[in-house]
Amino acid sequence: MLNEERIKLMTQMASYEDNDGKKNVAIGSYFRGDYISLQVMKAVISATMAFGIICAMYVFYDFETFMQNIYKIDLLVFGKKILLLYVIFVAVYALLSYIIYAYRYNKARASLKRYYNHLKELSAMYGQEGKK
Amino acid sequence: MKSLLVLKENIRKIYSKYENYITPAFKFLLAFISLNLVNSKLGYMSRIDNIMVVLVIALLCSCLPYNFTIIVSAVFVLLHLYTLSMECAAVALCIFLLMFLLYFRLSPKDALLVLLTPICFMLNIPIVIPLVAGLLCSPASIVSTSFGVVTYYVLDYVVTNVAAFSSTEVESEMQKIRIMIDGVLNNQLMFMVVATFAVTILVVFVIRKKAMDYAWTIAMIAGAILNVLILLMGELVLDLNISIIGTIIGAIISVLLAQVIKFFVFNVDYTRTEYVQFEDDEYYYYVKAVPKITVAVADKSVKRINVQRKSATQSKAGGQRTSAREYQSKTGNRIR
Repeated sequence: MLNEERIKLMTQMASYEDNDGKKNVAIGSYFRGDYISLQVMKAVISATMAFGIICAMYVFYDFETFMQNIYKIDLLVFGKKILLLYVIFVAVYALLSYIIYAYRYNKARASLKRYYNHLKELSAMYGQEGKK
Repeated sequence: MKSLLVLKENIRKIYSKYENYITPAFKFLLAFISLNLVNSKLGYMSRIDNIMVVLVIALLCSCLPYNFTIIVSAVFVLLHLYTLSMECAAVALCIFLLMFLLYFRLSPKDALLVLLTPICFMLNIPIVIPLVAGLLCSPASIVSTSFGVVTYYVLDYVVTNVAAFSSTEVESEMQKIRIMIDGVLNNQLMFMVVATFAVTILVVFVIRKKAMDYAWTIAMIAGAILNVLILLMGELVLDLNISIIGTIIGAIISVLLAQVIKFFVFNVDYTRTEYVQFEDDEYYYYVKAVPKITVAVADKSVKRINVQRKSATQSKAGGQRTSAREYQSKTGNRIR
């Protein structure tokens, strides 16, 4: 038989699954460490690409002077300087992403907890109906 | 005010009823306006500077997420710049890629502000952006608004220096890249506007969070005044060639627009009708969940009922007193 309370609960849950739930369930399927490390890894790749673009713009900004000077400058020192800048840039961006994704994971977990409570409630409703 | 509330309720009713059509129509309009503005401002590639092309793409945008409109607009900008000069397009592509890689990958929802900011600049009402961002979004929107400002000024720089980019007399192609990057990095007005918008968003956000009467209205007026003051100070100190009257008129129109947006957003829950499907062992459920709508006219009757209830309780209390007096006179006992 149709149970009005149960349908309300199921509708609420289905609506959650269609909206915020979709994203949260995807996040919730990871362990905390796995999710955050994956996202930080993606952030490191993005930051590397961004750094590459910035370097390319720096080189092309004054290409002729750069090409003239490239034989005069100490390439090892120059390379070290670039590497240091890269490490600082990526580290700052990765740290920021770590904070953001850790916060998002905790939020998604809390939201999923409510969803699982609804699931338990639903299963209890079915249980009660079964007894009747 | 009451008629305005009734109007708001009616609009809400219409929105929840025809939400399926209104949202795509809005997306279509946004795409149509933004692509047309790009074409009118840049318009170097005649193939895409065509109303039919814009119409077809805007129609496509109407049934896809907002971010698709942003990508299409960016592609339009790049194509126009490519026709003008490849170096110009390359620098613009680098700027767009940096924005995507460093920020919008983290927060894709904010990307809409990057599209709306240049649109408002072209419509001469840029101040509406920090006001609305401060009212409706978090301070994180400072980043996307700043990107919007940068995008606008980059395009503006290209348009005002079109001769430098289109001429073949420039010594080397590499020099065009330098001119473009110089134009972005040495644009004091751009940095001034970015800073002004950031401060305005913060101030509007802080004031509207305060628990005081008319916090939203005070926030938007304070934000607009602050915005105008900072820009005028910038004009005095850096001599940035800002039109003072234009800024003030723009600020007034922006406050009015923000007031209209506030009227529809504040305290109104635009929950939509939802269609959900699920099943259990016995049934398939196809549920249409319609949000309950409270009619503003009902507010008046609530007041009247309260008054009635008050008078009813008074008369009830009065009744008790009479009966107590009667009881006293009959029995001679005092009631404490």
